[in-house]
Amino acid sequence: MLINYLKLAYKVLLRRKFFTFVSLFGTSVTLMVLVMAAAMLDYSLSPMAPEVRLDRTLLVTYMAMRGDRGEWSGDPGYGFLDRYCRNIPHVERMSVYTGEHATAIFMNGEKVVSQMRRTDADYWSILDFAFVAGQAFGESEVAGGSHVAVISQGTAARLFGDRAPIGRTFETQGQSFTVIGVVRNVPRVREAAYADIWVPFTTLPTDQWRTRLMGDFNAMLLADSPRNFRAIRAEFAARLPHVVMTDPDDYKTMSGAPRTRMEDIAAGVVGLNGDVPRTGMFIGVAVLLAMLFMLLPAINQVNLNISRIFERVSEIGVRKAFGASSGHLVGQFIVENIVLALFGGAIGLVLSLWALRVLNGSGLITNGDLQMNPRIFLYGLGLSMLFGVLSGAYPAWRMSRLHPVDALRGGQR
Amino acid sequence: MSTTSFEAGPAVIDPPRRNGHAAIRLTGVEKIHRTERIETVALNQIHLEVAPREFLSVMGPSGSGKSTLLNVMGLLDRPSKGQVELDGQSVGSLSDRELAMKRNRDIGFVFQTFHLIQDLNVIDNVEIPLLYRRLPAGKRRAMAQEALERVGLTARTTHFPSQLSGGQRQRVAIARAIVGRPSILLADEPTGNLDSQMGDEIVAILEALNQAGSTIVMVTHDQRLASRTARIVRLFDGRQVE
Amino acid sequence: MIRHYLKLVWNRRRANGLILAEILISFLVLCAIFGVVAYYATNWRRPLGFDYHNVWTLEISMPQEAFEDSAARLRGLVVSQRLLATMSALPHVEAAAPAANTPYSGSMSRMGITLRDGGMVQYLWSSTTPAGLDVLKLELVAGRWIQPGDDALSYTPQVITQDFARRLFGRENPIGRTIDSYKDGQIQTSPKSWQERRVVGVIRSYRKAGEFVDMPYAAFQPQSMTDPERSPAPWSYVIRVDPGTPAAFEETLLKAMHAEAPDWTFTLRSLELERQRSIRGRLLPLAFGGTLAAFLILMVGMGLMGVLWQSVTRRTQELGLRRALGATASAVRNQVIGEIVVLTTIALLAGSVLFLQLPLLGVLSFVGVGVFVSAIVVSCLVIIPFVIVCGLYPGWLATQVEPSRALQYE
Repeated sequence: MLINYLKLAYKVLLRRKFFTFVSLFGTSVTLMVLVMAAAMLDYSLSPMAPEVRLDRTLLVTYMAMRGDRGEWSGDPGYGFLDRYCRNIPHVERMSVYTGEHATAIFMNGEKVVSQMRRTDADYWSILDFAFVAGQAFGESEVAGGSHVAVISQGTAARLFGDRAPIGRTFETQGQSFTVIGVVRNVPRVREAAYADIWVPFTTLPTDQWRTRLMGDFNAMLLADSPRNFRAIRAEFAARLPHVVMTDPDDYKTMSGAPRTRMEDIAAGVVGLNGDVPRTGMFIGVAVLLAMLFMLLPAINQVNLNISRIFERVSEIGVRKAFGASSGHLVGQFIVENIVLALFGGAIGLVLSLWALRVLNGSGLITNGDLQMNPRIFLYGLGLSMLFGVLSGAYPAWRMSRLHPVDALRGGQR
Repeated sequence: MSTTSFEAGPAVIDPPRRNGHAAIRLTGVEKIHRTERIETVALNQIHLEVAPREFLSVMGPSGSGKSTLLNVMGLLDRPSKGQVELDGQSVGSLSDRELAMKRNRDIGFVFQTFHLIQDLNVIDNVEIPLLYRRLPAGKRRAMAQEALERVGLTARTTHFPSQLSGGQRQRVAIARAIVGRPSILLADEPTGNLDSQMGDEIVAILEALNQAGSTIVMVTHDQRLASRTARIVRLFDGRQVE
Repeated sequence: MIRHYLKLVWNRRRANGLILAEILISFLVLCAIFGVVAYYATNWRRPLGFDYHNVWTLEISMPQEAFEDSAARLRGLVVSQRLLATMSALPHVEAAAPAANTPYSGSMSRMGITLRDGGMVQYLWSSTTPAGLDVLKLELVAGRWIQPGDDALSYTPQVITQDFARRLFGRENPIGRTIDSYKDGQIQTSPKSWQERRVVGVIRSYRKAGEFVDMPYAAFQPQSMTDPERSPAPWSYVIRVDPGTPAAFEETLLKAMHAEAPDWTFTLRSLELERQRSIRGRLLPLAFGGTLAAFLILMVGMGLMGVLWQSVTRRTQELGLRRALGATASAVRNQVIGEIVVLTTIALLAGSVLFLQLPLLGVLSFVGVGVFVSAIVVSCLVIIPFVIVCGLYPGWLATQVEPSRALQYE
């Protein structure tokens, strides 16, 4: 029976080439955009090198001091992180590091602008960088404030050309650093890992940042299991009231919480920086946007489907008069629809592969390397099936209610 | 006029003439439908004159070319051979635009299946021929109202065709046919979809219109109705018989 | 005839509902895109107010302790004074001055005040020295610029933009007037008398966020390099160099700065490059959105053509009938196109009403009503011909209907 449906579907679709083309065009372009968006979301949210342990990492990226003077919010300072965030139960490892900042290096009269980040030694155990030469700096270098640096491949090429980078020095911000390791380029979207140059944080020029509650630092808390996130957050919250404020006249309380990467992004998008945002809302907004985007192609598809039905109205009438049930007819129509949707989806996926290649090559997303993985592929397939069913349901329902007599008369009452 | 003998060859029937020209004159008219492999002769050597103010019936079995004859008379179809004249003027050389104008002014159609536009109400349906004459809205309304009065349908001007009975619908169609005051009415099986009582009413209206001066050619298979008309022309296989 | 089309379309509104929805949504999408374009275009035509050629910005990050107490703050100012003197003395440097709100940068220093009429206004607030005028090549249109000694007066002189002057004082002469913030109808007095903001000059404009964004209100006041109570140490400077300055000069400048303040961090940026980045950052999403919109509209157009094609096929009897009643072939074609244009017009009217709710409800209040109107007009001018083109083929198909054949079918 299914084979019959399929053969018939094929013939029917070929008969009206223009309609088939329009349906395929609409479906494939829509799906291409949706799959691309899904790929980008997936790319930003799921654990990928070097942030391979992201699914069991909580990040402290945003804190706020509140008082009569108002609010001072932003990155936490080393003082806060070092004094109040260490040794939380269920945290296997903790790393403290600065944000990345643009810095200029002058080499042979050329200006090279690189993003520099200052980190501790644990940074390299929580994140998995791919070293192509040398190694990371360890506890002793951090403790001693050694002016050593790990640089990315791209930076090595720009600073030193073809020459081996290990052991060479460069100068920036009035400081001199020696290269001890080279890693593969890190995509911009890996927010904790991304940089061009990594140096020990103890190379910061002065010392006052050590006691500051607010500053330029972030922390990664590697949990033993995601199930213990709640316990970690609870412990963090319990410690907050005990923070000794440095300017109690100006700022009385400290607030903030460790967040997952998804919560971080959601906070940025939805703008609820103070408290842990409801990621449900974020997902809800994303789904809503996807539905809105599909609205136009869906209506278009429904329209085309209705036209397709009316074209065959007399055929339907004859069939019904000969005893075909609504179920049979609706079933056939839906099979056609699904065939169309699957083809459109397939074309859309091919287009997505091409678009991803173009996007990766364009350099719009620094060091971007978006991939089509099986999960995205399945999303795409699922979306196109959903699309096919949705855009066929209403017309099919209309069709099943047609009276044979009306159908034979051409659909006019 | 009720013998049914079949004769080949042209038969010329002279109707009584007034004011010089015949309302419709067909001379040697042939209509051949050509598809890839088949040639069908719908009309074969038709010579026919319809006098002004005549009420003529055309009868014959199905496939005899009755509707084609009406189409040719109504300038909807050009004959493959022969000449068609309306009121003494040959239409063979007229352009599509001129033919359309002539149909609009001089000819009214009534069909078996009424062919009313379902999505327009009665008076909007009746006005349609006047739209193509570019008359202002007020004048159109007035003329449509008058046509509906003549067919006795003033009570339902804002109804839609789906809300009317078969007889009422045909009356609307007749009103539409006469709204532009054409001199010729062509009716293709006007009572075919109606029961006998409604059919009688419709033919009565046509008779009244004929009395008032319209030339009417009616295709029908109903002998009883045809015998109410002045003249019957019979067709068989595209030819005139008897 | 149009009324006739309207009747046909209106009576068939249930069947036409989906097409109407499609055209409506496409129209709104176009309005959004053209709205952004119109907004950018309107802003592009306004004077920038400054010259970005051959200008660099120097951003400074001072360690936290520079703000701890007044002694630290004074030290910070002293270092800043030396920095300014050093950079101004370097070869190739024409002029240098401190300034917050450097052009094309993300940083913004703003002040909000409530006016007497209750309106709340935010303006860019920047401290600078007399050299600032030369570096940025601001255009003075009334009064005077900041001059030496301005940082020690009994009031704080302000040089404001023309739009700001108009907003504060209407058509009255702004020179000599004070910028006050009101609360419950009363002027809020500042704790220190020298904090009174008195207008001494007017510049044409200072749209530091660039050509695409509208920032009409800005004020400059004198930077004190000696009194930490009056001004903090500057976070950023603007430096004008002569054209043709070699790239190596950046290194020289940065080395000189590091020499004066080893524990401060310096970042140097070229205004021309930042401007290009900023422009690209704005145009790229627009181009992306526009391409996407074009695809969607194309898809809608093809769908529309398909539906019209279908509709003509379904209505052969009606079209044959109209020919019988005297319609010419072109009349029938015009009907097909006319109906869809009428339907489109209804969709456009509904869409315009919807779109105009945005300014009426005060959403996006920084965008003038003119932008919304331009967006609507341009979108209409695009959609109507587009719809007509989509109707051409079905229109032609309609003329191919043979009346005699169409009327035979039952």
